[in-house]
Amino acid sequence: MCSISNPKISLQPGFLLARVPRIEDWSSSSHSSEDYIRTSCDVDDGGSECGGRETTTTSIMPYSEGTSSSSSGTTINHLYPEIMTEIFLKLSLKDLGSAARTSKYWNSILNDKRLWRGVEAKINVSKGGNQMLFQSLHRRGIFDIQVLSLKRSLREMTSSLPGIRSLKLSGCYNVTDGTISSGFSIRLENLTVLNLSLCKQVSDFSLGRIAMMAVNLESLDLGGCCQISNRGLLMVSWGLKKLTKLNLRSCYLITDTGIGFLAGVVSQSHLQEPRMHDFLLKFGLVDVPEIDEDFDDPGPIRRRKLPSHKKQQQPQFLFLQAPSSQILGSSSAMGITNKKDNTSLPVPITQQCAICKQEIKLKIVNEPHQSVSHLMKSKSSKRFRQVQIVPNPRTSNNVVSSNNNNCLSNPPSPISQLSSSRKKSKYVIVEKITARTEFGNTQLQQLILQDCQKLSDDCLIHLTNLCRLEAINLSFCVHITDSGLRNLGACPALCEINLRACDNITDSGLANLTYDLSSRVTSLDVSFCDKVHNLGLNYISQFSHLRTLSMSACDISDEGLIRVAASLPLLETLNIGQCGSITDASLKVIGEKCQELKYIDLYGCGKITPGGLAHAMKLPKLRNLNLGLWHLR
Amino acid sequence: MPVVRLQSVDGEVFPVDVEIARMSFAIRNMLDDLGVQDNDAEEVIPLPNVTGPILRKVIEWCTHHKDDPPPPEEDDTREKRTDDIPAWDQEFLRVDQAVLFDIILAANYLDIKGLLDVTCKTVANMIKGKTPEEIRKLFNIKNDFTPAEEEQIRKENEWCEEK
Repeated sequence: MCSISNPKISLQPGFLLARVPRIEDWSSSSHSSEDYIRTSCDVDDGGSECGGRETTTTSIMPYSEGTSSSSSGTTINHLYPEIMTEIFLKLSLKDLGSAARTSKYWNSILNDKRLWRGVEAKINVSKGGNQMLFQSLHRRGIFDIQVLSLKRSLREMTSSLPGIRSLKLSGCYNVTDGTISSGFSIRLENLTVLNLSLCKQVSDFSLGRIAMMAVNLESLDLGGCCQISNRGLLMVSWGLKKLTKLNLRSCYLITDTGIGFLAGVVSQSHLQEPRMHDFLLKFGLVDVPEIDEDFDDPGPIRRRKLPSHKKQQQPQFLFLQAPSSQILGSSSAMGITNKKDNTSLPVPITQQCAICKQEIKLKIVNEPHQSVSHLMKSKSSKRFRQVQIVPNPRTSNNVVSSNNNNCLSNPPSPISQLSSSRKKSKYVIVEKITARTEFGNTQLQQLILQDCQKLSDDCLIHLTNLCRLEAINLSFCVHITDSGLRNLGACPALCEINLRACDNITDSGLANLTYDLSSRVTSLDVSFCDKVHNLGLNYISQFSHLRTLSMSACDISDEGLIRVAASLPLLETLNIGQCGSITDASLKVIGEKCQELKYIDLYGCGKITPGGLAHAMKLPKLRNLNLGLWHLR
Repeated sequence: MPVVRLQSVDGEVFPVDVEIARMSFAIRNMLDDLGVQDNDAEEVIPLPNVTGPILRKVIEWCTHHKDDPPPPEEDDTREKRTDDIPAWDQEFLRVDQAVLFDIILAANYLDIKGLLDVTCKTVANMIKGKTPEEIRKLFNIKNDFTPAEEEQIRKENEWCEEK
């Protein structure tokens, strides 16, 4: 036997260490003090030869506590961070939390982003500072947040977690426009999912903020936000071009016009409608007409077509705090209040930048143009290359003004005295909305309009502009009629239609659907449409690609259902609960023809006997047969 | 069957079938790199990081698992389940903590994925469901947080408890 001492063939102790990530790679900046993460850094000198048995054995240990180097002394502290990560990868969320609290060494390993991949943090935002929590989420790469309760503004969260990807505030009843305003005071470029369902205090103003600051949003849930109106949808239509999913359930102020906005149907008259104009004015998105004509305005700058060097700029908002209601930009979100003022001008005002939070004292004098030039000349305004002062046409002294709502924005000023500064302008915030502005959420794939009771057939005409729309939910929209449904055929991508409890839908409405959709629709829900009868099932049986069909509580019988079952071989889900006339005869045909069926709901079908159920139970793919009060979708 | 000789740090030499030795990717790569032939059977491969008793355990595991299918490629969607340790492995790993950790280090050093995986699962099972205090006690870990730090860390990780 000859021992090979040639280092080429022996496995060097350094072999493994080469695969261990360096400390800097896995430990966080704030927890990486070397005093508690000791590795065998000295292995380079100790391990280059493989002779000394004891020394080499100990030299591979990352953390040699005692002097004992025998194998019996090996503890969990000797395992490399890489190995600890492998172990932690097999732990549940709760166990990861316990592991992090065990020791500094473990806590530092727990910052490995791999451990938290796909995790959504469900957090309570408490009154006390949460900054460390948000920083720890940031370190761990957790950017999906579900807020369970909110007792503090969102500013801290979004500023500590600017990479936030998904924010769910669903059910946080105390979310107000002020909350949204504070949270969305910086651009959230990575935010793609926002859920505000049941945040009932949220109004159009929040949507304006969101449309300006979260331009990459793909999914927006406003279910139950009953203060949202068409104005908010205009902002959605203007700013959220990447939106694919929109839930407007129970936003009952919304009318056909609002759906038109989503579809890009915006006319000058919509924009000039006084309330809409005032609303847009608050965001600086429109010029004041009187001034607009007097001064040289180069026209709207399209936000999406800015020169590349401008695209990267952060928007800079000026918040002007003033004791006078004549000054723009009062923000209740920032705790700024307007006090009654008897125009004892000039008045000192404080200007605060939303981003750097520095406060600048300014004086604004009575003359509006003077005040503007004064503002621009003042030393402190140098960091704001562009300021918009919004003159209020309705006040005689023509100084700036806004209502008591939260206010923001400084897009290019229409005031000529600022035109020179505009040329040098560093920051372009938003384009003005004009007749030429592009509106419309053309990427929309899923639209939920459930329980939007003001909607009528006209909104369905607008929907035809949304050429990517795949799923529409119109349930409880009681003003939708048969003739309106004909328009849905012109939606080229539509394949899922929910007409649940649309009381005015009858058999001829289903006939209208068949014209263009019969080969496309995969999911149809006409449950609780009590005017749908066997005749309607004749039409439904033409939807040869249907996989999901719900007809609960429809006035149908075996005759119609047998025809449907015989002609829809792809059906996977069939909900026919509370169809009291259905008998075993239907189930026999279903059992023979619907071989793909996985779910069937038969709740309240009183005429079905165990013999009938036996037919259904024979279906090879059946996973769930429901006879209870649980509705399957 | 060709045989390689593995020498532990304490000088013990283990003759092992090449096919079993090749379950270690470290040894496999080395054999491949050097183009070791069958007639090189007399050669000895020194393993300076593994002691005799541990090397014996590792070889025992590899021998038992020599016909296992190759482990699936690593992917991000891997399950977190740890309740799928075969009965034989459970019995095999019913050892002192120190031995278990030595086997983990050896499996990592020799790059034996299956053994590393099953041992890591075993340790994960020891951690599961325990409080930080219980974990410290189990593994004899010193609590090096100050009370203030401990409170801070608790706050940072409170959300992990949410269902």
